[in-house]
Amino acid sequence: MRRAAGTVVAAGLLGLGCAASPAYRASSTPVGSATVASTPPEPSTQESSAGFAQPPSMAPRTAPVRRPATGVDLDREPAQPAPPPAQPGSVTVQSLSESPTSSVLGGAAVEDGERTVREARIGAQVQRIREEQIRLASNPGICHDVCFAAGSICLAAQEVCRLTGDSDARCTRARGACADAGRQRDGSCPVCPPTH
Amino acid sequence: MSLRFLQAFALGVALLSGCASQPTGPGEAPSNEAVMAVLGTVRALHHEADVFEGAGDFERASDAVRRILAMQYPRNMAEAEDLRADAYGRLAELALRRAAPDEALSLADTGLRDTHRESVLRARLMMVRGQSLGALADRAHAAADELGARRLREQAVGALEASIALNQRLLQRLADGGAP
Repeated sequence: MRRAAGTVVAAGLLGLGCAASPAYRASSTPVGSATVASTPPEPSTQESSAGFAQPPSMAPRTAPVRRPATGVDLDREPAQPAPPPAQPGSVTVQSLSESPTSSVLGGAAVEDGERTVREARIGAQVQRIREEQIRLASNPGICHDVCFAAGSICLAAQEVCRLTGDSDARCTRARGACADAGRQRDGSCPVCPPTH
Repeated sequence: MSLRFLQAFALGVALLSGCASQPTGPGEAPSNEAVMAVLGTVRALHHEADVFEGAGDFERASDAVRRILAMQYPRNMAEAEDLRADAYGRLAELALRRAAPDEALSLADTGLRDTHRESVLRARLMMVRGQSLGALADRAHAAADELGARRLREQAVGALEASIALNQRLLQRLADGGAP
């Protein structure tokens, strides 16, 4: 219990110095290839810059509390709802998209079926992203680390490109890492938590 | 003596022993109070550094952060490593802002030796190491030492790529729902 309490408090206080770091401040900016360039970047979303407008000494600090993760996997395919048990004579969406006999129903029916499947998939993806955002919003400790890591990657990429030149393969790779990290951050933590 | 008094006495002794448990036994975690006291002090010192840094006084900001490194941490305080890594990272960044890349490199290296856990703080130390080496490469280039500049630049890019790779691993772990 004592250990757990200490860990919770520490989670809130750790990164006080790193919160003042350019890496964290950089995390409010988009981390696509434009960020690597020396031109000042535009915020990717209005929300993503929230909490970063103030200088480090003025921004309010919050105490992130780490909670057990719910285990939502960003890379996993969303779980598809199980199709209802097929009734004799009935045609399910699944069978429309897979059965070779479905072609006898006509092209329009096949297109409708495919669209339904696609929409179901998109709906599941949206739901998964919402759930992930809720999980992360309730855990600012994780978002602090996500924002800091993404910002650090882009700062490092910027320095790699400065040292190697824009045409170097290592610069290209670093920019790619920055863009990936930015997408990951925007997907997981649209709002980076205030640092102070 | 009532049972209630005995219970209260036992509770008081337990609380006091918790407060006074700075010198803990081997393997014993420090008390909440000790941890809170340390974290509160560290927080205040970072705030102090914020104020000086905001005013452009990097020297005094660095002094505040150095006091974090000079602090006595309770034995077995698990957070101590991260607090120190954080302080080394900030101190190294402040040294860079003071145009002292040698000092920044030395601080980053000390911080890296001092911390072993894969964390955003360790990745940041690697990045500051890369930035310091990059600044030293610039200095060598300005002194017409092209060979030295090229060598330092290679080392810098290596450190920066290591930092990127570590942060990518941490992001993946976070995305998988685990701790960084």
